[in-house]
Amino acid sequence: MTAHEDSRAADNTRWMSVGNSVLSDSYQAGQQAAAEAITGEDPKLLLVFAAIGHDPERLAEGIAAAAPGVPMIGCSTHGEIHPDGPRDGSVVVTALGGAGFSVSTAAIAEISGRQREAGAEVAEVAKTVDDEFPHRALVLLTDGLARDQELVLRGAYGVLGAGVPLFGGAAGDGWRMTGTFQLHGTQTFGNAVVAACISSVAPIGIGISHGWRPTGEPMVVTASGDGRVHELDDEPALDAYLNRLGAPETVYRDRSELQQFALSRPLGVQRRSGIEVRNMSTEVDVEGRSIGGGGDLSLGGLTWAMEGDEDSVLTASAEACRSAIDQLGDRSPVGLLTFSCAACRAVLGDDGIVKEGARIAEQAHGIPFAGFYTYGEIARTKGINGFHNQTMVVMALG
Amino acid sequence: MSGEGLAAQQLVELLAVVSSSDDEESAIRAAVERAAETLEAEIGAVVFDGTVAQAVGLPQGSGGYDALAAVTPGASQTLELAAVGLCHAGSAHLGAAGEGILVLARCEQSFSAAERNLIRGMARVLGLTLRMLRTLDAERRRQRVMQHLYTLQRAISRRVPLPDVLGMTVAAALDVLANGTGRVQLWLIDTHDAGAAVLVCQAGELLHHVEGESRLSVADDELAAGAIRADRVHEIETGADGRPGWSMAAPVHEDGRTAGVLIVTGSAERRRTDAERDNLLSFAEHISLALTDAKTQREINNAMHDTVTGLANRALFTTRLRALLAEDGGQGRVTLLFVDLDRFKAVNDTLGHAAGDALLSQVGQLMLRTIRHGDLAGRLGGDEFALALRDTSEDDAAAVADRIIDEIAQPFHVPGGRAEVGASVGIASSLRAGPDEQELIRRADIAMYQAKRGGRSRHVTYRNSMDASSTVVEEAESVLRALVDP
Repeated sequence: MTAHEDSRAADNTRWMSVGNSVLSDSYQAGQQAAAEAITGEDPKLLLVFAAIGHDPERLAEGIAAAAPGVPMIGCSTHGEIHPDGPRDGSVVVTALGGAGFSVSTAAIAEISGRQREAGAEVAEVAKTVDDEFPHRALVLLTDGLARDQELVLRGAYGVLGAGVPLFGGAAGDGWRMTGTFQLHGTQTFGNAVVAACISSVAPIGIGISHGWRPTGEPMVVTASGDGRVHELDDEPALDAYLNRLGAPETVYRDRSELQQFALSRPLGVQRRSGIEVRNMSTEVDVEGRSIGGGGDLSLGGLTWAMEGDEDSVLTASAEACRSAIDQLGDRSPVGLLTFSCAACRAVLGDDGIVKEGARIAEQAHGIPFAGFYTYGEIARTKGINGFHNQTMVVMALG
Repeated sequence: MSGEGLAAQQLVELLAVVSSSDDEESAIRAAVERAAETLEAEIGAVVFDGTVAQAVGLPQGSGGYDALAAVTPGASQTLELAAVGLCHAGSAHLGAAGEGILVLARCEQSFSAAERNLIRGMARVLGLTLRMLRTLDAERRRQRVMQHLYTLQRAISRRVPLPDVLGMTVAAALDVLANGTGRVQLWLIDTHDAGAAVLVCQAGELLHHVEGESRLSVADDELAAGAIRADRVHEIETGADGRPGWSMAAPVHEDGRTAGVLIVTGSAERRRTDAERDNLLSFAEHISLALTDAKTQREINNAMHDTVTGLANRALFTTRLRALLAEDGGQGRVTLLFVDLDRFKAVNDTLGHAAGDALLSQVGQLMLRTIRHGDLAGRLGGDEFALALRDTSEDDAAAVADRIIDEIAQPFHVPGGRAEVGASVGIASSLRAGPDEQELIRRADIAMYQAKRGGRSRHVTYRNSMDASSTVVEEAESVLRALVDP
């Protein structure tokens, strides 16, 4: 419950600050965190990251009580990122304000089965933000248990085009895998996408980095469908994956051991400027021997088994922060949004995520930052792809 | 992996993605997205004939479509796109799919020679896939046409009501010719005004249909007049709301004579082919078949029905009575009422034949009101009517006869005044007469004469004993009949 420094920019027209509460009562927690976050005049947007244990309705009511009329979007997490270190069971509220920001928000419910349309609809509403400022970005918070998240981004990209970066994360539920929640003002949802279009007088930088490297020869996706890979190199996909990594015998049949093994061994997809990561740990299929869960792997595509460790993941987290800040040139950011992956958290462990927080803080140089551990990270800055796994994505608000 | 190996792999991935598409639109979208993804281009598009068919990365209406459409393959170009800034463009012809062009635009870096080669390969893969899909689409469309025509033929042969057949044909034409979009209309020449056509049915989007517009002048309508004059498919370019489009019309016929036009209207995005012209003609010919068949049916119907009352004539009544009696293996129970009007000749003589016909017509309506579903009513000739009642006892039939006698005893309003007649009714049952329709009619006829002899406006049920007396008196009766019924 530390009040954070008001990081107003030099021209005093933009600010970001972060509030937090560990109170168990959702109303009080929301109220406390929101009140703590609003440290400046003219608040424009609240971004709320809350533990799945909170009652979303009461939480939203508490926030609205502390910040009546301030636009708000938020979601449930797999842990909250806060300048004082990672949190579990808490509420983190990030406030953006000042005359240099303009914001509009939107929510679209029931996205499963119509992800592309939902992405387009939420962007269509959110883009109505005032066009008076030269820099814009769309922040999206989606249901992390919905499949084909890429399509949500494709839908939004189709409306906004290449001129507007996309950023955000897929809501978590603390590994329960039973349901996430999304918030939009006093509305609460599951299976929804909520969005805020931020327009700013200053540049917005976005950094993307992961700490995974390919190992061995690539495998070809020889059968896929319904968002899952059924065969790699004409073998059942799960077996081909485990064989390639020389997995211990016990991993082949034991669901929890398999999940644990896959957490630190995602698959990689070759892109022009590097390899994108696909998490394999969330939807293991011991009986059907297929793999999936982390996003699209195309039929006929090449994929690599990937390896990484605490050090490489932490290095990537710092790199993502640095990249985002560097894009602002000489300007100092007023704050950072930092979204890391729930699977990376599992790899890092409790000590590791504390170190991760410290690495972010090092890069932030005292400016406020906040975020959460996601079920998928969103950052589109070039090309048309923007959905990531086991990756750190950072937005630096100039 | 080497650069060449990676490029080959990326073509394989593109092929896998586009070849799993079911139609041209989704194949183009998948290809554009995959090509942009592979080359980390922010913008991808496919352009046909200077028009952007699909684009990713440029919001519709953003103004960049014209710039994309103007990109020329081969040349290294830069584009200044609103909201995106300066982009480097790379493009290539689709080759096998006509004049299409795949265009990619990237902000960060221009395309290398190897990447331009990859774009050419991707365009070629998409072109080949589109050609394959078009071939498949044509085959699927052909099958759909056959299925529709088969369904229509069955409907016509099963004598589905004409309006339903026409509606089915128009809907089928919309499905095949306009892919569910556009509009199909059937106009038939007004039977009272050969210079005008009336909108009979239509399906689809009403692209530029003016509310209430349901008549057209055949001579003034370029499309309809062209099709009717040439007696073949006629086409014109049309436009609605500033959108380019086209219309095709095919003549329809009834019994060899021009009866109207079938018109399909589509948007410019959908191209016309010879196969579609043939299909339009096929649907028009099926409408002609349905119209001619319905006309033939009308004529047959007229031949079997009495033109004055609309009731079955003697031949049709007898045929249907035979069928009724044959039901249940010849055990069908039918009671026949033979109704003869009393004093009808006087109506004709005093008020004229028009009045007589009007009276007969009203009696015919009375007969129809009297029977139930499954019973028969007919005019056997002159002032003789017959009703065949199923599963009706002689007592119940007598009650029906009483009702008829009472109603016919009421004055009729006819041209020239009021007419008063009566009715004598003979009743005979198949339980006694057996399954021979002629015998049943004969018995009811005999009973009717007994009723007349008994004083008219009454009913008599046939008894066997009547036969003996009737044969003796029959000849005399036939001679005296005119006298008895002046």
